[in-house]
Amino acid sequence: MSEDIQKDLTFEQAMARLEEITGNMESGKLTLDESIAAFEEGSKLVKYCREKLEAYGAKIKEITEGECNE
Amino acid sequence: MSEDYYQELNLFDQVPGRFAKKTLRVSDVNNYIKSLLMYDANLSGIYVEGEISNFKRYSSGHAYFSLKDQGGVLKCVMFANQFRKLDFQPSDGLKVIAFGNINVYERDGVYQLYVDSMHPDGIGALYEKYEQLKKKLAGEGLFSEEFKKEIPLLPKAVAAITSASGAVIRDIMNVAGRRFPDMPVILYPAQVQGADAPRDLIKALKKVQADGRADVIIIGRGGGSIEDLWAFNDEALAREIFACPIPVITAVGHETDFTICDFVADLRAPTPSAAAELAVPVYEGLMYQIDQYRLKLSSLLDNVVAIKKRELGRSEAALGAHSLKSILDAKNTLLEKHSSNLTALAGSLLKLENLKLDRLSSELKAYSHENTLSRGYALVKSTEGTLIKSISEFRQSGSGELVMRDGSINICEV
Repeated sequence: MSEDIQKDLTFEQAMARLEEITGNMESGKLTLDESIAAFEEGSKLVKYCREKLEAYGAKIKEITEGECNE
Repeated sequence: MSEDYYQELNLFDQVPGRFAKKTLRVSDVNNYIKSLLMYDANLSGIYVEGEISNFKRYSSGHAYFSLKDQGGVLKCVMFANQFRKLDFQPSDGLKVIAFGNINVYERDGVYQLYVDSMHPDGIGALYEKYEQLKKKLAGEGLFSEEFKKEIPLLPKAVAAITSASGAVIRDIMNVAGRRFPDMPVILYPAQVQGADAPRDLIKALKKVQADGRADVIIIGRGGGSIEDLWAFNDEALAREIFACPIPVITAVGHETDFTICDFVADLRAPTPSAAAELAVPVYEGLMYQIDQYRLKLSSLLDNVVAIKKRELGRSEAALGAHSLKSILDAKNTLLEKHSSNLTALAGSLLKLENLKLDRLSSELKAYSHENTLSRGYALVKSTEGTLIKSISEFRQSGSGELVMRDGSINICEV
């Protein structure tokens, strides 16, 4: 289990990891310490995913390439 | 019927050159012309190219239209049986090559082409080329599923390679904007039809890769004739799409149009709008999904804590109810056992001592003065109870006690 989320983690990797984490927690096989660690990691991933989505607001919506046909 | 025509033909043959002098019925004339055309080998089994106009199809299933070119118009009819076998939809303006026979329709006094089969002009050659290329690239494995790259769930930006002026880019922007308002859509303009189009499209593809901003590409154009879409059957373009490390979605023409690029692309969309839907996720949908994970995580942790608490409670209860008490009980039992052993041991020891005492006491008795007294002896004790063993001792105390077998008397010196 990773301590912190790597910066190059893609959105889908983060979502897949969330699915895995919740699956593990649901299975009931985790110890309490593992459950808390999983929860912490999951919460970080949720935050990471939300930030990824919200970051789009700052981007330029449309860029038209003029120099394609020289 | 053909027998009649023969007879009429013969009739006219017997009187050559006498047409003008006879009054003929309209039907005679038409029949004669019909017979002339019918038996002209040059007019049967012919291919005619031209552009379709006045296309009409009746409820009977028969189709009526004209073929025209700059020089003139030729009426055509295609009967339902033949028409049903067509693999394309004829329409006005479409250039076709029709195969059939020229014949006369006597009622209207017109000759027309009775079409047996028909295909779009030029498509024969094009189609052949298309099939060959498709087979070749399929043989090389370029269409194989294993090479299809996954479309990212959440792209950084979408590249649109299409005409800058067409409806396609507008459609893509609209759909993308509706689904994910802040999703960047970058237009890489390119010609989408004509001889230069493939080169232009390849250039745009390379530019997207060099730019590195987009991680999914939509390449396409609106509907058109097969010639209009032909750039997307270009081998070099198809290979470029195949080699492109960024996933490519094609959207060429209408839903029914399949180009080589469609086969080679990572995903084919039936229309540009559909391509935008495939490339751009719905913002609210993703947010909702993430939120669900958040809620799930909390409730799952609560569950785990609750389960662990219950387990702890059970352990605690087990500890109190069983372990400690049983240890205590065992100790108690042991203690009691020791204690009763001790009592028993003490009892037997006491008994033993008593026996010993009895024995000693009887032995003592045997050797005591009482035995001697019973034989008639007496002994003298001082008033203090000490034994007096001589007269001088007696004289010192002055008085004493004489003890015999059956009692004692006080004595003194007279």
